[in-house]
Amino acid sequence: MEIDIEKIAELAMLDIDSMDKDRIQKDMDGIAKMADILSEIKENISDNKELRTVLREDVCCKGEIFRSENADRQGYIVVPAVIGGEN
Amino acid sequence: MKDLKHMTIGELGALLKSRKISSCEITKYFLDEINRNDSRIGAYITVSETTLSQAEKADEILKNGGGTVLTGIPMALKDNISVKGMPLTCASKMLEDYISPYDAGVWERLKNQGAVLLGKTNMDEFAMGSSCENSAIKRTVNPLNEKLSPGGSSGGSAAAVASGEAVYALGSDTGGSVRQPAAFCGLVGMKPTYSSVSRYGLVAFASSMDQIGPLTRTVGDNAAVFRAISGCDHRDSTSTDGYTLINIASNNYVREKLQSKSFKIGLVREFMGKAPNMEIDAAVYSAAKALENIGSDIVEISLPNFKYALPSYYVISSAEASSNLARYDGVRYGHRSKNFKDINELMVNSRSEAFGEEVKRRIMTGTFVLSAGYQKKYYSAAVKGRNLIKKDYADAFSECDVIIAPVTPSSAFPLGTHANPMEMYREDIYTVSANLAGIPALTVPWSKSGGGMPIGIQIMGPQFSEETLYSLGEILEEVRDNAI
Repeated sequence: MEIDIEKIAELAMLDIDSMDKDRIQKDMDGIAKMADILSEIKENISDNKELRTVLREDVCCKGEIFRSENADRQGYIVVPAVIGGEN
Repeated sequence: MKDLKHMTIGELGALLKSRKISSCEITKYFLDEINRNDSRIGAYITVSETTLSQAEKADEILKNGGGTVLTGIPMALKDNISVKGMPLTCASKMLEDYISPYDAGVWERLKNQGAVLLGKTNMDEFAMGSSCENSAIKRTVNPLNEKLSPGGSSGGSAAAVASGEAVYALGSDTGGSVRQPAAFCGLVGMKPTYSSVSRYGLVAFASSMDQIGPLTRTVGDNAAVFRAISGCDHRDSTSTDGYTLINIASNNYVREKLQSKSFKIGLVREFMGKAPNMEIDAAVYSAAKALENIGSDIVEISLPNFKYALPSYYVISSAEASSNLARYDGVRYGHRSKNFKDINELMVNSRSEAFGEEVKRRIMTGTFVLSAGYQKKYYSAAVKGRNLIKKDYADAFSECDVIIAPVTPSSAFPLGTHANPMEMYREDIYTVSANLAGIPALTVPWSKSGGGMPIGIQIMGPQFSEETLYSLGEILEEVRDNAI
């Protein structure tokens, strides 16, 4: 199988012309070949409770973010203007 | 008196407490070492401008009888750990001009203990690599032999400590990036249990595996730093108090078990006899023999799904990297291309100009394994592989207390020899499974190669068994030092 690197580059938001096409094709085909062994796995062990890392409950900490230097213009985080205009 | 650069945290701490030397004097000494040697070693990307004022503050604390074992001790941070007001480059052109607006959780903890930050260390770009050669900023050499790699991705942290340009350093370990450079540079390196050290302020690479860990000269130093940085931080949603609540085994726990001949050490069948370099297997066997001689029971254990570790790791870590690095789009942070006609071109050109070759390869790989038609074949299969490996370790630890294993397939390799990425990925074969399983793993220098370079031993244990690993590590150090 040959990976369609032009399509993948487009999805990855990278310019394919910024890469050595032959090399990236060869490297990615090699990585896919290494990973082909995973198709042998027939067992379907779900990530059961014993093996799972206990995570804390997700809570909103919006206040922290809005105390940072770049933050807070009417409840939004301010970033530099992208095209034209000011912030 | 021993040269300051060869002293441990404990030795320097004793001098500081007794006021035989000040933190300012120690810090000036290390800054001089950096000035003298770092143009050759290349350990640091940034040297802090506030180091001496931090040392003055530490001296004040010590003068008033306060402080901890880390107060006044000069140290370094890998340049993917945030320090407010300092550059945070991740050794990438993407973040070359980025200044961190806040402190990482680990630095907050160390700063509160009066640690003195010398600077930020070189690394493989965004922590992707095993030789430090993927840095877009500079080259780092192994201080023990400057033709050789210091390892990676925390190669700058390892080189700083090994060259005497810092007393200790923090690195991050997603697939072996603390343990492998520690082994290459003759240091002790810990990859803690996933969730035991806060990753708040650590630039994300593969979030389900990233952990921050210390690189030090001795096991005792490593334990002291780990105890200072571990513990729950609610700003990292994966952070727990598991270490604090479960662990804290008595210092004598392992020694008592050894005396009663009830401490079992596992040797992994699938690891042994596979290293291309026989010195690596020989080191593990000699460590096992030495531990057997002092009472441990050596048992052979199996990790039958070990063959899935490396592919599972590269599929999952690349998938997570492609998602984590999507934020670098020229809009929110980092490099912004000057060459664009529309928003899409701005994003594509910014990313294409600023990311290095290996980072692009990982983003491409991650995008591929998550793309329509391939997600099930690769990503879902890798998650299954990871769960099998977790189960293998859980089964193994029902048969033994800890596992000892190689860290790397060879001792430090020459710079510029791993041009093929697959060759470089195979360097991680013994380390990635601990990250997949979320278990702690400690590297301890054990022997030397024929060429005189250090060979490390890896000790792995169940989740939150760091104190057991440190106890056994100290015993290994004693046995090693008595044999010299």
